[in-house]
Amino acid sequence: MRRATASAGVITACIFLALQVVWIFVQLRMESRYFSWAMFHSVVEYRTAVEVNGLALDDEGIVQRYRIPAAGREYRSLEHLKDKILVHEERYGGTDRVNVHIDYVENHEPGTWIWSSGARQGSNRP
Amino acid sequence: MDLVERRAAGIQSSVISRRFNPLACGGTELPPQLLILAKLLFVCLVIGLHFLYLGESYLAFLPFLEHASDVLPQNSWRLLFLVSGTLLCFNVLPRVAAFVCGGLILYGLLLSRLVYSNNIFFCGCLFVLIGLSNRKSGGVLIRTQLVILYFGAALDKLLSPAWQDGTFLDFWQGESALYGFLSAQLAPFVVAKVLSWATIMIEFGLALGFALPRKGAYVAWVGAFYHLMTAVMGGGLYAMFVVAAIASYVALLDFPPRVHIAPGNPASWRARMASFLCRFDADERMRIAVRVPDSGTAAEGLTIGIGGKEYTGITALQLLLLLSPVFYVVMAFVMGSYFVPVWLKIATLSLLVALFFPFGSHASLGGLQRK
Repeated sequence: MRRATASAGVITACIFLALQVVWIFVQLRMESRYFSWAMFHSVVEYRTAVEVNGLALDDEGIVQRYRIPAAGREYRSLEHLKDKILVHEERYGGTDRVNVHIDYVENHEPGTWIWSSGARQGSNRP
Repeated sequence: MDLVERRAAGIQSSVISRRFNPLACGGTELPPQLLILAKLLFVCLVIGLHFLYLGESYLAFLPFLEHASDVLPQNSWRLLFLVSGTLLCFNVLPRVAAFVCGGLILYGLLLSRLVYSNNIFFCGCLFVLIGLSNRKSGGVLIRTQLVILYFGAALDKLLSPAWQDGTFLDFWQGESALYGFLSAQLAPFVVAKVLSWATIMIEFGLALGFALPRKGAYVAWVGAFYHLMTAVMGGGLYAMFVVAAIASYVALLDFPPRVHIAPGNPASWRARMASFLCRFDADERMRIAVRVPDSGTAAEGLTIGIGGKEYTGITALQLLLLLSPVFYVVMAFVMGSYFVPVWLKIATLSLLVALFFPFGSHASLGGLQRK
């Protein structure tokens, strides 16, 4: 019985490791690269501006709403930043009319991401 | 055998008993190296305050977990983690405790995008694998986890245009004085490209090295050196990542049941250190011994005897430290603590990397590279 439990444990461990390998390749198609050991994927310097129901949030307001700094550096992917904002709005945004504007520089490449509530995805501008 | 035990003469006596002793790592259902690794991870997660961030559900990866904190509040999560880790440290059901710690960490990560990080994910994976391992498979499972970690990291960089042309590194290190000086000597992006491709190659090399059953000491040293370099460049240990990666190399060791230590000159610092470490050897693995020299003269230096083989000089010192749980406790508190300044952590890591250079043959870490 004890031996069978130990073997089941090792088999489970092997499946767990195999799933990680599969997940690495699955995540290669996605920009967010969650749980796939993608470290230091990119460096993004960003500055966020948010408007809720016509009122602009200050830095403190952005931290309170999304629990992320209004400006800073992200070392994984810009998608992580967008994801946090979009998922927050989807789950907690309610009927708020929200406009989000992120100016960023990703690996020397400047860009802008704009999102308004109602839109499923934001749009990127170089 | 050249080394003759002197334990009967009362020279050595462990000051603490074995059962429920956090310094004891033998005699449990887990091999000592895996138990040490699990304890190291737990202690560092706690004294580094990393565990405090986990357990709250907000922006969960799986929508049905969004309100999981209503069922298991964050403080309950923390309490469960602390209780499991404490049981682990006191050798009570260590396998189950390690699995619970790992499960809680992975669950905690799934609860929130805000706290997602590769370093905590790595810790969770190590705990889970320790919990699922048996005495034979543990080292192989951790080794495989290391292969996957370095392979995943290298593959992501290899396919990233910003890593291929060096723009990532140039942007990241743009404000570094050393990088600025080096890149000013050469054409733009040359240094960045060289460093980028060196990183990719080293990470693939580590994945390959850990996949091979031999030369573990060399691969582990290269890994530690690589992490030291990244720590110096980044000015930090990336939360738990460097500590967890280097701690995981402990799982590649194989702790022998008996180690004979001939300290040599009793007035030397090595002898005093050996005596100190032996006093806290709760597993009673280490036995102070006297060397019976062939030539008739007493040996001056430290000698370590493992399974009929003798090691002297720096190798003996490396073995003495690697086989002493007290050494890991000190390292955990220096490297893992939230309150120790980063410069001291990096300085300690530099010292470790210098001290554990695998001098001589691949057997420089003793008979420990069995797998």
